[in-house]
Amino acid sequence: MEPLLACSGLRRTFGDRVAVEGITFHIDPGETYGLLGPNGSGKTTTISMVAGILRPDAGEVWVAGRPLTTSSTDSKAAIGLVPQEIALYEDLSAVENLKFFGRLQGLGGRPLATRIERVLDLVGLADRARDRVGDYSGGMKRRANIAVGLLHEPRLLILDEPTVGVDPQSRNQILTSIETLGGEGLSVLYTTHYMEEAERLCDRIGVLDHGVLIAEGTRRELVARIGEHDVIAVELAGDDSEPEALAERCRALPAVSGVRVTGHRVEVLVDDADAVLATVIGEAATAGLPVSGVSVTEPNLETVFLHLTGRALRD
Amino acid sequence: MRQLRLTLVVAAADLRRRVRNRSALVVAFVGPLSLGVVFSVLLGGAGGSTFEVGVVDLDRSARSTDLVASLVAANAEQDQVRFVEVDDDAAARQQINDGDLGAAIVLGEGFASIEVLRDPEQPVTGQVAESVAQTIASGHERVALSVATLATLGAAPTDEVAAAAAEAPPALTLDDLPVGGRELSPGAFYGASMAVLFLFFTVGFAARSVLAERQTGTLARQLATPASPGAILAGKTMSVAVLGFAGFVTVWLVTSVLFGSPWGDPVAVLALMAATVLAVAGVATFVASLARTERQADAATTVTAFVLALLGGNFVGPNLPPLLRRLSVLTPNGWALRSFTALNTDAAGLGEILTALAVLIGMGLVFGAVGVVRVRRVMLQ
Repeated sequence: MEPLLACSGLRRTFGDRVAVEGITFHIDPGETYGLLGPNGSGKTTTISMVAGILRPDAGEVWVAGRPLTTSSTDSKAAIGLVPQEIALYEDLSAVENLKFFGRLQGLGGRPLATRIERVLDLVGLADRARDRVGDYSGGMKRRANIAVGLLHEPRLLILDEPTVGVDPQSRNQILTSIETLGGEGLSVLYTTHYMEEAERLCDRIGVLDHGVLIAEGTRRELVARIGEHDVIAVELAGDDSEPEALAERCRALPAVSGVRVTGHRVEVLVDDADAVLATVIGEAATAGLPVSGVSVTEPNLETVFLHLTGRALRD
Repeated sequence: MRQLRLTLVVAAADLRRRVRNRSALVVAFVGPLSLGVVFSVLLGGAGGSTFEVGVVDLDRSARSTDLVASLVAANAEQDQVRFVEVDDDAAARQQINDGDLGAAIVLGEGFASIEVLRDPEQPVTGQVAESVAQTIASGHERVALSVATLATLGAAPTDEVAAAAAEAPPALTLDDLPVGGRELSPGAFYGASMAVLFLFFTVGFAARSVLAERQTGTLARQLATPASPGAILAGKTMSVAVLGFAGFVTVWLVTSVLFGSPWGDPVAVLALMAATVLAVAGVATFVASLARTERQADAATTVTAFVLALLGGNFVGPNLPPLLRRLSVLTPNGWALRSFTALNTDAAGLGEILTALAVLIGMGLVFGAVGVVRVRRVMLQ
């Protein structure tokens, strides 16, 4: 399958500072790809080159089988960009902003009006469509910002930290919209420094640090790469419970990498908690040990980033 | 074709935003119009006002008496310059000090001298008086030259020749005034002057808005569409050029209709306005392209606008001091104002201002091309 977006060896400097170096990744049709990294790691520079706004010093970008440069008008039509800033004219209404950017995409007349209605419905702004954007709340502006990126029904949607500074309700609405679009087959390039967003939305994740793509893969692949495990914690009931008995049974299971006992709590280390959880609980039942609680902890991308860079993601 | 259409899309959207922005309307329309009127009133009297010029006849010969009579009689034929006979130069000075006269022409005894007394606060009236005095002197010299020529040829002037010279009608008619066939209209001059000054702020907004929109992200969003950087910049320039031209035309119409200050041949006026807008757009784009932020661009545009206005004579009037006259040819303001003055006072037409049009268009294209290259580079950084 030909990737919808293919970047190879992207490099960009600003004066003496190297912003990104040797970035190579691809996005398949219908895939949501996350670029995860702290502020200043090169995410925005990367997507600026991917969107044809910024000329790379080296490397290539291909979109839908065509090379993309700052002057590639046809390739750009396949891309919908949602910049990190609220890239809207605050003195115009949402509809006026959408009309303007829609016309720049070559839309007009009834088709444009229909699409405006559709995207405003999608982001939940239909009832405030004719209000000035300057009068919107921060969350509403963010949603209008996304609506413009979706207007011309691009094949690749690029979102640069679209939830920065929004309230939880708007944030959830934005994430749900992106999940919906991904489910409909839209390819998405999503940059964020919120690891929970990357985990929720992205099929694959690239970890950026100091302008270099230091790791790439699914969340599980990234976790496996650093040797971390899922943890199934079983809390046994009663003072006379025998946690060591359960621990012994679990150690005998082939999928278990290790077992720790702390008081009445037994922690079972596995690669895939979902696959082993029922077996572990079954062992407790077979041994006649009453269980008062079970929890599963999966190693997150924060852990991955810490392991890869020695720093927390928000440093 | 596609990029042209996208240019128009950008231009229409930008124009809509500018029209909704009250401060943009003030800069394009209210500012030049109100300051043009204020300057007209303060520096030259509003359009339709009269230049009061005193005439003192110390010669009291038949020739000088006829000359003064012809000047006073000319009052009936026009209402721009009013000549008033004054008994002596002391009285003339007193009336100038009192503000009753803007200037006075003193014809010396035996026509040996012609002196112009001026009120420093009425420079235009002083210029008019000086022009009249020069014309009188020129006529007087022509008569003297005729006599001298006869003498050179060895033919002493006969009594008839001398009598004819003495009786010769004054050389002066108001059509001979070097200031022009029509009197300079302060409303037209200062209207055009302020319109040119404010053009820098109106038209210069295109390049400045690129820097501003780079900060807000709307520029990036436009660059991510099929619109090329050139189409975006052209659209922005087109919108402010339309606004600047509309402001210029408004000043023209208002000063012409309301204040009776005709600017001259309409076709030539419109062509000169268009060339001036192009020149100022080019210079302003170049200046803004030197800045890295909108604030820097604002400051640079303001400084440039006022420096060029000072050098170009926007605040001085049509008769520039010699140094300023030489410097003014380096500025679009100087070329534009000189041409507007020519259209206004000399009844010049398109043919007489072709050089100025070419210079203004050249300035616009050269500065604009360099500015566009620089701004385009900024857009893609």
